[in-house]
Amino acid sequence: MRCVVCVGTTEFAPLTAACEIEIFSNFLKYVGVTSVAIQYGSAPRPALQSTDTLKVELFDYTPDLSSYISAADMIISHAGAGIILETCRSNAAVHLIVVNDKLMNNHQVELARQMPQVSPVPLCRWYENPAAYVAAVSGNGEHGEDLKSSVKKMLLKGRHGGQQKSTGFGNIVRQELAK
Amino acid sequence: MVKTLIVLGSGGHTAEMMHLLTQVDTDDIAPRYYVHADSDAQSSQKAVSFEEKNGGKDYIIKSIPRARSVGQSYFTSIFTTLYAFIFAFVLILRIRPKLLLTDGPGTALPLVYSAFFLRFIGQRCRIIFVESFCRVESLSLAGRLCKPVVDRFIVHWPSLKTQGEYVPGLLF
Repeated sequence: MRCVVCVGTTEFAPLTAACEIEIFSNFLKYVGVTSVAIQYGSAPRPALQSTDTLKVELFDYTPDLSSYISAADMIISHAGAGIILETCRSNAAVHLIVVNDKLMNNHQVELARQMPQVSPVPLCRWYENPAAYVAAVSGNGEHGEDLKSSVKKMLLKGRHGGQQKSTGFGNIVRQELAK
Repeated sequence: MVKTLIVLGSGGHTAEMMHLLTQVDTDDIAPRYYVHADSDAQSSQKAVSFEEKNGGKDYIIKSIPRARSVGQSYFTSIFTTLYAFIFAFVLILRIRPKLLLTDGPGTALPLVYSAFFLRFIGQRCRIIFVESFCRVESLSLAGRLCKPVVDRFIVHWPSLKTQGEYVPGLLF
C-alpha cells in the first residue's frame, strides 16, 4: 500500500512534523502502508528514514505529484482545492484532509467540511487542525471512531479503478452550442 | 466548429479549467484561443500539454496584461486596469469568439465584459462561467461581477444553489 502526504506550495509545518512522530509510523504500519511519499513544501525536511518495512520518499516539491497521486492508496493532504480535486479523480481509497488553521481568511475550512459528503473516495475524513488529525491517527479522535481499523479495512477493500468521470461540462457546452 | 476563447488563470483556476475541458469534444470548440495573464507561463504550459495529449493542433495561446499585480498601489492600478481592459477589448474584437469559457480568475473580467459587448456590434458570443470549486459558501468577486452578463453561471455547491446553476460533481 502506498501513502502520499501533500502540503502544497505553502508551509504547513505541523502536518509535516506529524510525519516524524512514532504515532504516524505506527499508524502506517497498522493499516498496511509499505511506502510513503511526503511532499513537505517550505517546511523543514521531516526526519524520517526508510526502514525494512517502510520505504520513505521525501521531496519539497515535485512537478510530477500527479503520478504519485494516481498510484496512491491513501492520501493525506492539506485542504487546497487542487489536491482535493486531484484526489477525487484518483483511485485512492482513503483521503484524510487536514486544515491549516494558521491561514488567514480560511476558506479552506468550508471546502474541507463538505468533502466527506461528496467525495467519491470511499473513506474521506477532514480535521479542523493538525492536532485533531494527530489525535485521530493515534486512536484518540472524537466520536470514538477507530480511524485505524476503518482505514485498514478500506485499504484492503481498495477502490474500483476507472470510475466514471463526469461529462457534465461537455453537456453544458453542447447545450449552449445548440442555441 | 465554434471559435472558442478559454480563459486561463493562476494555478488552481487553470487546473480546474483543464478538468472541465477533458469533458468536452475539442472538435466542437475549435479553433481554441487560450488567454492567460502576462507572466503566467505555467498556465500556458498546462494548456500546451493538454493540447499535446489530445493531439490537438487547432489552438493558439495569447496573453493579456494583468489589471493589478499583488502589492501594487491602488492609484497606479487605475491605469493598469484601464490598460488591461482596452487590451482585452481589442483582443476580443480581433478574435471574435462565438463561445467563451472561464472558471473565474481575475483575468476573466475584462474578457467577459468585452465578449458581452460584441452583441452591440451584431455578434453573439455565448459565455459560460463556472465558479471556482473552492467557493463553497459565497461567490467570488469575479463571479459576482460577471454573473449579470453571462449565459450560464455554474456553481459546484448546494449552498450557492440560489445564486447559480448548481451542478453536483462536475469536476470529479
